[in-house]
Amino acid sequence: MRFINNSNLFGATLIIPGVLLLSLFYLYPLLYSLYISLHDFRLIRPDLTEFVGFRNYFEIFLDEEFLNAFFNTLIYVGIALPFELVIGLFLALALDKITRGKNVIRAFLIVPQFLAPLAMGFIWKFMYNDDLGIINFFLRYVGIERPPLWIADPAISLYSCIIVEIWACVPIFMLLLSAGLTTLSSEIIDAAKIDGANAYHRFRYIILPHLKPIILVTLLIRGMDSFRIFDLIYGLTQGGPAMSSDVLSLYMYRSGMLDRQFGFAASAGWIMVFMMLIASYILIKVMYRDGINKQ
Amino acid sequence: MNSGEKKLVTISWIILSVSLLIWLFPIIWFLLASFKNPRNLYDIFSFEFSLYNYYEVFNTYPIATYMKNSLILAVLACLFAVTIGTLIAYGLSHTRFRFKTQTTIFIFLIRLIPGMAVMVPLFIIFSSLGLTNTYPGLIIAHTSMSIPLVVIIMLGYLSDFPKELLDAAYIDGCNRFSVIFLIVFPLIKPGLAVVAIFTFIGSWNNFDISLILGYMPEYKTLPVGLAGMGNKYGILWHHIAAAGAVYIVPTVIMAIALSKYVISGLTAGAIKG
Repeated sequence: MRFINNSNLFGATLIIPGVLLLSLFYLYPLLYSLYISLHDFRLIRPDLTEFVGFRNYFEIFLDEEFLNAFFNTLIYVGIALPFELVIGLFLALALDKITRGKNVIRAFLIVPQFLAPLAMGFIWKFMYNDDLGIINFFLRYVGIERPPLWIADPAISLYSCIIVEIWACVPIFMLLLSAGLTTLSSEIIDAAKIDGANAYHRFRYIILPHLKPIILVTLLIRGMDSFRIFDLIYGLTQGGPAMSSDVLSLYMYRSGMLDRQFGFAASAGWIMVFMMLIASYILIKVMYRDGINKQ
Repeated sequence: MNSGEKKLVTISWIILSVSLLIWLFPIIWFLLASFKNPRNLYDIFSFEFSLYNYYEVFNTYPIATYMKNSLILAVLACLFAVTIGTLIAYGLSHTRFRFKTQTTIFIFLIRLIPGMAVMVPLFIIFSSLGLTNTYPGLIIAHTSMSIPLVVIIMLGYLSDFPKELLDAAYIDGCNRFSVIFLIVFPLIKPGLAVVAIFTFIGSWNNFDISLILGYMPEYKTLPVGLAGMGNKYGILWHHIAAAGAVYIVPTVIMAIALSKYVISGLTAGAIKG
């Protein structure tokens, strides 16, 4: 029996204003962007704006700049995520083994998570610099005469960005997986030990299945954040040199804000939204299926 | 503990020490560069302490204005987003609002939307409303950006909230609104602290919204100012280092000093979200 009368109407007065604000900020621009993407949009001369159907979507897939950004983004996410997961898991397991100083180490390792991505970009641009960066100084010191030009070389600049992305995101993987590890009761591990399971078996058949839901959620969240990466690459390379590290968000910024190709920017935005929906749908399906199997 | 276990602990310590170095060195190196005399910036291992970089960067760029803007946005967006978001979370967890499920799904879906997909049309909308390069426009944008995370984290705190307390306060004469502000808010202070830290840092670190909606010099935030420095005159590393240090030190200190809250917030946001 509830006494307090938290009715539908009262709930609505709490929820509706915030939801309206969110709609104004997210939903309306998205719908507007759908409108733009289906029209030959003229900002200055609205009277010349005409409906063109899916033409922008067809044309954008013929645009080399878009395709380049599209595949770079896929490479970026596809390479960064597995590395982040494996290194993060590795560190979480190491953190789980030690007893003293755990919280201090965790507190310091998590710092990059709170750095502005733009600042990270600059920090690593400074490290990568050929003249005054410490990486190439060190490589020359150990005898490599022509060290890689990390972000100035179009052939590897995307991968240099990926290294920074991995550096930036391993801490959150580590933190979440180590939180998952602490909820695993030591009795189960001890029981497995008594039954003769070695370290590999304990990892493969106890720890990994236990962490699976957390791994999936983290992959989902991180994957989407990497997919829309903007600040970090803006700080590092601005997509250059020669578009070699261009990604979708940068493409949208450039085509929408600088080139005033609003149709392309809007279409690219909807393609991204669509891809995100599919990816998260698949991951949630996987999680849901696992949840059912467990019961 | 047998010898194999001991070895594992030792290996773990080695791995963690190395990773501490990997994750902290770039930041420390960058901060050190900001205190380096610009004359020997190119000389990797010489270090002559000087505050000249700071002196110069504060005199060359309106850093104080950038800082003021960043601070105003972070504080106000934090205040608004925490209030609005917590009210939504309370509505979703403790009232009989009819569209709870739909609203929750809506808020989770919003987290999936790529920022840039919203920003370009939003720029057109805000321009036509005259909201670009104004504090209200920027504050609305920063607030809305932070609300979904507040809702998701606060749902975690509020769904455990004992309903009996609400009833007791109601019987004792609170009305439905004062229950929220007099009973609920004080009791979920730890949660509010967590989301406040997150929204503050989120706004402080935000770059894309400020870049697109506040590009005039008097409305630039620190990151937008910083990005502008990188391009205009080529790269003046001693400027970037000093301005960058001013920009990142507050968040680094916050993250370490409040690590207990920060860690609980990160895990709550991701695992429950």
